[in-house]
Amino acid sequence: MIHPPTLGITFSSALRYGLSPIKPVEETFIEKIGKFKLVHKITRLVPKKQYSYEEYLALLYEDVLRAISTPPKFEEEAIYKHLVQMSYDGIREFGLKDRIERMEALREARSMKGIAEQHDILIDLTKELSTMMNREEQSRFYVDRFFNSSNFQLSYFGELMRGSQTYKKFLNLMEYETRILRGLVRASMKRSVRSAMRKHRERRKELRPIVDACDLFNTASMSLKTYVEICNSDEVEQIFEPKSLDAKKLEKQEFQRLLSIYISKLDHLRDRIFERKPDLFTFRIDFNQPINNMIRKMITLTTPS
Amino acid sequence: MPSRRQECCFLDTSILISNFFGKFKDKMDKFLSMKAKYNIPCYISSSVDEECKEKIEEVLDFIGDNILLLRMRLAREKARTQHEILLTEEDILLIELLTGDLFKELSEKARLEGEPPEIEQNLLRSLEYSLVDFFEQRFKENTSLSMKELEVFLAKVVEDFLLMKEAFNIQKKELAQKIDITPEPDIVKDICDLGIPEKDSRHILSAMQYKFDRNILTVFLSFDYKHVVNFQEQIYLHWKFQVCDPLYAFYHLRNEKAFEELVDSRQSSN
Repeated sequence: MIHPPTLGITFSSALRYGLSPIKPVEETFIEKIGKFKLVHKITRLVPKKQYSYEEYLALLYEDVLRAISTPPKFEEEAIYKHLVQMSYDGIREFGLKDRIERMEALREARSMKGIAEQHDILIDLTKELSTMMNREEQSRFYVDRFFNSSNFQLSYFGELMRGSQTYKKFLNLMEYETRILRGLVRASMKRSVRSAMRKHRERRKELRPIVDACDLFNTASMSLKTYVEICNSDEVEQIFEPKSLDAKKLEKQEFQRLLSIYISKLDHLRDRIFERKPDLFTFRIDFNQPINNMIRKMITLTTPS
Repeated sequence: MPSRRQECCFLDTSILISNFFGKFKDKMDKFLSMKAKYNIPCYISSSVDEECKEKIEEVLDFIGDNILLLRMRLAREKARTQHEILLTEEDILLIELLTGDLFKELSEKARLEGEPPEIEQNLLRSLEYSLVDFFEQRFKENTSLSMKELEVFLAKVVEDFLLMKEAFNIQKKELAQKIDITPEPDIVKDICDLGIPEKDSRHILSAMQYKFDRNILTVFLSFDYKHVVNFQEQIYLHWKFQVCDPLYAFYHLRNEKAFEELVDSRQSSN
């Protein structure tokens, strides 16, 4: 199973890297989430010039740390280095390094063959990752985290799992879309059809808001998890290492703020995916199944009539 | 022919939840067919949207907290007699006793807080039934089980819960559009003074503000008689705003004048 913290951002960035060139631009905007009025300084990813994968990753982690507004317990630079290192370790561990390097090299290429190869790598990546994100294993993982933590509500881990499952849907969507893109490139290669490449460009452009939404979600997700980890670590090296978590070590207001941002970005991503491919959300709930029946009874019990 | 005045319905949390779980199906079907026939837009206020999320999460947290307690106490009890903790079929009786303890604690907590304990007790009974049923199924396949089985049970609950939450959100979006409205605190207080809880007052006022800001015929629909529908006459007398069961939604939208006269005449005869 994919370990959620740093790898999520690593994989997402690898996908982004292959889908559209980016140039980060900092913007300030005000967002109202529940009771909070938040002034954000956010790095929006605007397509402009080519970036190396390393620069892109560094940029994402800068955003992650900038989003946490509590006084830092550790040197920001040390946290940043630790997170980047963890990502690189993850890339190596999951055999992604070669493919990302190949993708970096292919970004210079403008040939149809190069683009087609880039798509092949992306399809492999999305397929591989999606298989690793098994629903049953993920729920075991988050329940285990809940049992090994103190003073957290189960709904917090439920939201984290919802994030992972939405990310899986994002991967499924990207796999589907990349297959179409690859088909268009192949059609163009075989018959030199110009219209195929025009469609290819348009389709890539259409995907950009979804990939942007996923980047913003990953940043919010990583900020929340990093905040919880920082508060529960005595040394920088303990961040994202296995340990029990205690909610009492967090500043409640900051945790709630980061959680609200996380949920709003998650809902935004889910809505974008739903708009593009609603059939990814098709499922039938069987209320005769005992646990579903229990949930139904319990929710209706709390609703007066 | 004069054009029909714009109209809409605001939905309460009870409508969204009942609709999803098939409660009051006949009434909902009738309302939905009217909604489709006359193309009546439906909205939910941000306060209703928030309450739906809270209700769903509260149930998940209730399950989490109680399974966590049961697991801890089960392990403690078993550790007295066993080195490696294994559960056998007889341990269903231990679950009975431990759930009984939780039940008493809930009653005591509710008594101290001056609240009726029924809801939480019934929630616990539902959880207890599911847990025992789960263990019965597992004991059919194994004579002894590890404590990890509680983790398996809770993981299955989380998995199913998230699927249901997703399905609920999709259905909610299909049924109604969310409108961001901030209800005026002073008027919320006035509505509360009638005896309506604050959350419900915020839902009603959101719909009311929408109506008066845009001059659109609006009714607030609810299945919650205890906290909302039973106050329909008082709300109308004070604010000229209609609240009703979805069964009557269409009649309220088309016959506000008649409703006003009925309420007035009943008021004067009292």
